[in-house]
Amino acid sequence: MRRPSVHREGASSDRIPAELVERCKDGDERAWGDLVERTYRDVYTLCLRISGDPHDAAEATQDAYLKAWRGLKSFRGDALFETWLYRVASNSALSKHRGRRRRQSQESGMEDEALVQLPASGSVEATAGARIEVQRLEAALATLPEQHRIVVVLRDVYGMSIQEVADHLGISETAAKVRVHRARKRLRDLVFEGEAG
Amino acid sequence: MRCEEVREILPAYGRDGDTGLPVRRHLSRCADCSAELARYNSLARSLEDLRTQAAEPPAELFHQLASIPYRTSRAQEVRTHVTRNRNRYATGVAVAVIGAAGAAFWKTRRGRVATA
Repeated sequence: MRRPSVHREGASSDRIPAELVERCKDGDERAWGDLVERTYRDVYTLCLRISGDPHDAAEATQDAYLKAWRGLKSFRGDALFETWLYRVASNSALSKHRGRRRRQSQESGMEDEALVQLPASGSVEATAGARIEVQRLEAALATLPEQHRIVVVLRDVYGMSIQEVADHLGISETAAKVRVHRARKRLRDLVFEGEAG
Repeated sequence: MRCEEVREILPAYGRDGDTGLPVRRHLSRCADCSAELARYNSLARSLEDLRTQAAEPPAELFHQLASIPYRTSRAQEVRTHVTRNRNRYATGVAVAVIGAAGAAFWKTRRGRVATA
């Protein structure tokens, strides 16, 4: 397998100013370009983590921004703009993913291809209590069955509530909770394989 | 509480699940379960950190996204234009079809006359 090639850090820490969103609502195309520049890498990464396929992730990102542009007027600023955009994007990625699953049976090597696109380096401490190496974690995530991967990405990476995860997936809150629980156990086994527990 | 019971709780401990006194009491006494909790906590923090790790999107994606306002407004203009001029376009198409049919008829008739 090729080594993952790209790594970029700290993008999500920049908040999108409300004034920029307002300018986009007024149809300011330059402001829209600025908004896209600030957010699209993170949105693409979210879509990639959900869909597991770079091509689907790019299409889902386009769908998400198209919906965002059309639905900007309905964004009232109750939540952070990024949070709203992530919800739109995860919906797009999930529907794209479902569509692909309907069309074709699981292709071998798909997870590896997705992993190639994900960040390469990061913290390297791997003992209990310390940070886990990014590449190791991404590899473990990619190995999870897709139902488990999706809930962990939504809940633990992007911080959605159990209720939001359930709404996104069209399942009950209890089912979402159980799925997250099982996914964490499985991920723990993958990451700390061979360690006591 | 027994270790097996506590282990079942740990994936959600402090996040979606039980942080009650019996579990805390067990954790304070059991080094193995404490170490296991540390693994889950490490996993949780590391997953949170992934949010700031971005993959590099395809090169053309930015331009496709940045041009959405232009593309949607152009598409809207075309739709509006077609809707407003629907009758004119329909008349034009009808005239073209009738003209083509007339020409074909005239050509066929002329051919027959020439043969006779």
